[in-house]
Amino acid sequence: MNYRTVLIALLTLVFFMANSLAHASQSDTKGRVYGYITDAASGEALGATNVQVANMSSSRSANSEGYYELRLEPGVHTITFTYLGFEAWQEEVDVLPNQSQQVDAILFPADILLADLVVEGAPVMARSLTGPGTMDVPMEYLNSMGSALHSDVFRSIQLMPGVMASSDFSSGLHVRGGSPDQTLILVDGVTVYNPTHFYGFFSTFNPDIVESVTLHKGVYPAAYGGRLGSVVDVRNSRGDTKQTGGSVSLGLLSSRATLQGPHSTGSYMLAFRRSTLEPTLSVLRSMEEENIPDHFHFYDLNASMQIDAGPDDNINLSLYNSMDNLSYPLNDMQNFTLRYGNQTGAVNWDRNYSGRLSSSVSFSASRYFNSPAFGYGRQTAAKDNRVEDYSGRVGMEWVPNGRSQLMAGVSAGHISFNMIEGNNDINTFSSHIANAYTAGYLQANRQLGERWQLNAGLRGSWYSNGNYLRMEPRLTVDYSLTSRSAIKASAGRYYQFASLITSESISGFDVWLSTAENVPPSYSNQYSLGYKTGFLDSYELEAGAYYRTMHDMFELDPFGGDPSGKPYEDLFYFEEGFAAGLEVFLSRYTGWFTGFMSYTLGTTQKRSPQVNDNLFYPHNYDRLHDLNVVAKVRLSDHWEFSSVFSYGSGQPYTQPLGGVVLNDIVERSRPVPVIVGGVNANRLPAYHRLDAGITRSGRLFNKVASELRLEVVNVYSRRNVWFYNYSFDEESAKTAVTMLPVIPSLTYTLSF
Amino acid sequence: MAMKLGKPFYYLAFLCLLMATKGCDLYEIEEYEGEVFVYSQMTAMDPLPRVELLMTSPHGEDFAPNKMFDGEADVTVYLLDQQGGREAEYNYHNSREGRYTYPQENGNMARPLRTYELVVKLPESGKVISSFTTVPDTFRVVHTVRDTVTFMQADPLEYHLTESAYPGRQAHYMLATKSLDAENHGLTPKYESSDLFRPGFTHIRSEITNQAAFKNQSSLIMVPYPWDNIAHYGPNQLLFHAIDDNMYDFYRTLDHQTGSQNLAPGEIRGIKYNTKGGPGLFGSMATATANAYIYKATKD
Repeated sequence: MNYRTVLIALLTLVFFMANSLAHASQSDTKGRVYGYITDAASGEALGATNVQVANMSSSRSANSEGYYELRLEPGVHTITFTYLGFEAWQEEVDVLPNQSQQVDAILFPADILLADLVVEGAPVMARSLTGPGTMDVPMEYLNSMGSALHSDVFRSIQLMPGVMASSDFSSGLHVRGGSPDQTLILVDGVTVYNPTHFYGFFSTFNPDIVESVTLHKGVYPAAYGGRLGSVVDVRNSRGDTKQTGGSVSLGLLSSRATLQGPHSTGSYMLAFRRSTLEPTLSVLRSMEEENIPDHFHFYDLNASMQIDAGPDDNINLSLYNSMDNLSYPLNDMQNFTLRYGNQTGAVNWDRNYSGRLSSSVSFSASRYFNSPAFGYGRQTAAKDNRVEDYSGRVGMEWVPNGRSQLMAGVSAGHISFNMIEGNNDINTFSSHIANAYTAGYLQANRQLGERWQLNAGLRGSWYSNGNYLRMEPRLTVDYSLTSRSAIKASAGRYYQFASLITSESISGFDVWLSTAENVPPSYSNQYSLGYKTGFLDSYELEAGAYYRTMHDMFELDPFGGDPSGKPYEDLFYFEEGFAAGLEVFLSRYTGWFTGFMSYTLGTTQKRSPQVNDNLFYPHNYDRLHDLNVVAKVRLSDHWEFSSVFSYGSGQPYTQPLGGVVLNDIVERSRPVPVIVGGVNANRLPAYHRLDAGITRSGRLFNKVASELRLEVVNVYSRRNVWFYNYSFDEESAKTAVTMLPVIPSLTYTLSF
Repeated sequence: MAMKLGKPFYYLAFLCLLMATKGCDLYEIEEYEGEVFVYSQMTAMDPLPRVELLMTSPHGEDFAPNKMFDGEADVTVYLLDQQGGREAEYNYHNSREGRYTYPQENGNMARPLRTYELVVKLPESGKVISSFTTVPDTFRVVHTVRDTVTFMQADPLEYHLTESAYPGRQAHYMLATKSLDAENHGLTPKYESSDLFRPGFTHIRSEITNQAAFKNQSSLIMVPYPWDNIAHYGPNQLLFHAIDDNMYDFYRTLDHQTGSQNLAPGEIRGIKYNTKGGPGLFGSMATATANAYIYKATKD
């Protein structure tokens, strides 16, 4: 760590804080406007809502509690509040000198399915704090398209610029050249370590209850930490504060039920989802199909309760539990079982002190485990991997005036990584890495004049195992070009103290391993530059460039073999790499024609002394071009057409060049060591796929809303290559293993 | 109201164009070239082994066994002293196409815990392929707990062995099983449907196991023999191989070359050869043996 960098960052922070305090005590003739922004349907606060004053070049964001504050010249001002998925709210305010007045905004959810609405006088704004690099994923919009795949949270995120999917079968997120473990996944503020079902095909987030998904693609704020690259912050609904409601959905893959509503002092929400594959599996078994599991199911359960403990106090309890369970017969005498799942629990107490100051105190626990086992008669080979993370956090947010915002927080916790391997009840390898950890951060946002906004942050993290103390400065500068366009430059240092071991094919085997003595944390330097603008009333355009380095990434040696008796550090090899790219995102969410186009031009490469003679080579998910076009056309009052087109240039792979057949003296069979070409020097064919659907909406018996939807995944049946399978016996051959074929589906939905 | 895009957008668009035109083909694709593959494995206290020179085949063609190098080669093995100097020289003779042997009548044995160097010179191409191996220390079976079992109906075969030794690390073992009467005894269930066993193939082996994986008592290691390392019913010979670094690297990369916990589907990595000048394996091991008899379970 360069301590001069830290010193400069600290001095910058001190400058901001001093400046903020000075302005807080200054008296001028401006008036103060403040208030809270809430969701009209549920009564919940809408954090990060954009607050724009007409004829002013810059805008503000409400804090996480939906609170905002402005200092305005005396006179009449028009304030517009915008939040993705909600109709804009406008207020005309007569500001008096040296006077404060409260202006609360209540935003109504936009009926995007029927969205031919154009909000007059409320064009899309360039949001200074949620500008390029940070995106509100349009979950509601994508859910409304009804796709079997894209209504999944992670599948939706994969459509954003800078985010790539490794295959049709993986919901893993590769954000700006990072591997999936470099993205911090938070559900209601709690880290989830393996948020997948069906061995990676879907994420564990129930789309019925997801309220918002914020994606920080890079250079994320100091309030977050522990990952090299990015953050996905998923917020579930805390329940409807106004009326009791629910839904039940039955399907061949899974079924869902939700219930939410008010109680005497707040609200509650309960959601359960379980796979319903048993009848299908039973039919397949009765047809004597091969490779059918003895048993398979997954489920997830979400529960939350919000308690209004006073006019300024709010307590929220949340629980989350997910599990996948498989039993698979290999033959008459052999069986394979795999269980994996996550559990989280959190209690959070938010308190507001007169609007300008708020605090949040939380305690959380997160657990991830997987237990694969292979049985062969009385002999068994089994593994048991666990991550257990218990933490407490305190955060403060202070808005001394309309131009400044200060945030600070500390957290402390204990995380353990346990890995046990055994044969026949004898432990052959055991690793227990326990870490106490603490982190603290300071973050200051400061408006400088009408056009500039600075955001400086510093985070410090300490891990006990190895006694690693790391400082992470972050700085973002916004410049508003006009009332509807801004540029943003960011830079930051990031550390990661754990690494995910995954095959990228079946997520149920995923194992997290920790830093320790002689296994230092990975670190990354990130830089980004972005431009965002609104034009033609309803269009929004984002374009940006990023560059990031990655160092000391520790990877489990795939050839390490039996770990018994080895020092922990000998299980790994270390890599470094870099990623660079350009992103473009063009969107329009209002009118008869809606949708977005996201494009990424990028590369990610790495190197290691153990691979490719320490020369840089493309990472497995390096992809030069990545394009997604999502479009929805409202044909009439009842008919709607939607489509998703994806294109990606071919991913790299290592081509076998040849081999040799040995007369091996150890086994007297004929092993074939394969001579390979340059690591990832070859490319698979380009990937492209079109999904399309048409929806007829109406009312059944004129009472119940109904929707009939015909949808085709992979319309023109492009056989995209997942990977090549090579055989090395006497007739060496190459076979393309392809991904999803054309899949038609018909859905009928009743809503009441 | 229509609005023009700002200058920053055009700068970024220009950067996109620049990267799109310059960003392709960052990496050179290699083409296949036929290579000589050197293969030899010593066994402690056995005569110096044969050295084979094989030819690689391009993928897409038939991978024929016994595709030997048919050119000229000078093959020499050196015994090194403690300082790395050459203490003795063993010149090999070309006995058959691609096969080189050291006359057995000279009586030179592979010495445990000593280092040997193999040098293969190919005059036609000017290539020199070389490698070093340090021979693991000998060990033996000292106690048989169970050597006759009904397949998977009771506790497995179990043997107690002395420890092997290797400079600077714990011992690594491979367990191999050789049927002594494959023609008259069937295959165990796991291998019945396998295409591994064709006529003439009688051996199988385990993946590499570290010494720490076995229980250790009074400097003896206790090895319960894994069921899935038994392919044939009837009489079997069990071979416990303690292996050198070259075999360790070669077999652990060979076993997971096309699949491992953290390799992506279809991902293939290169083999770790520990040779200079070309691919190959010059390995060594120490071996202990035991006999076992496996009965097939009778159905009730």
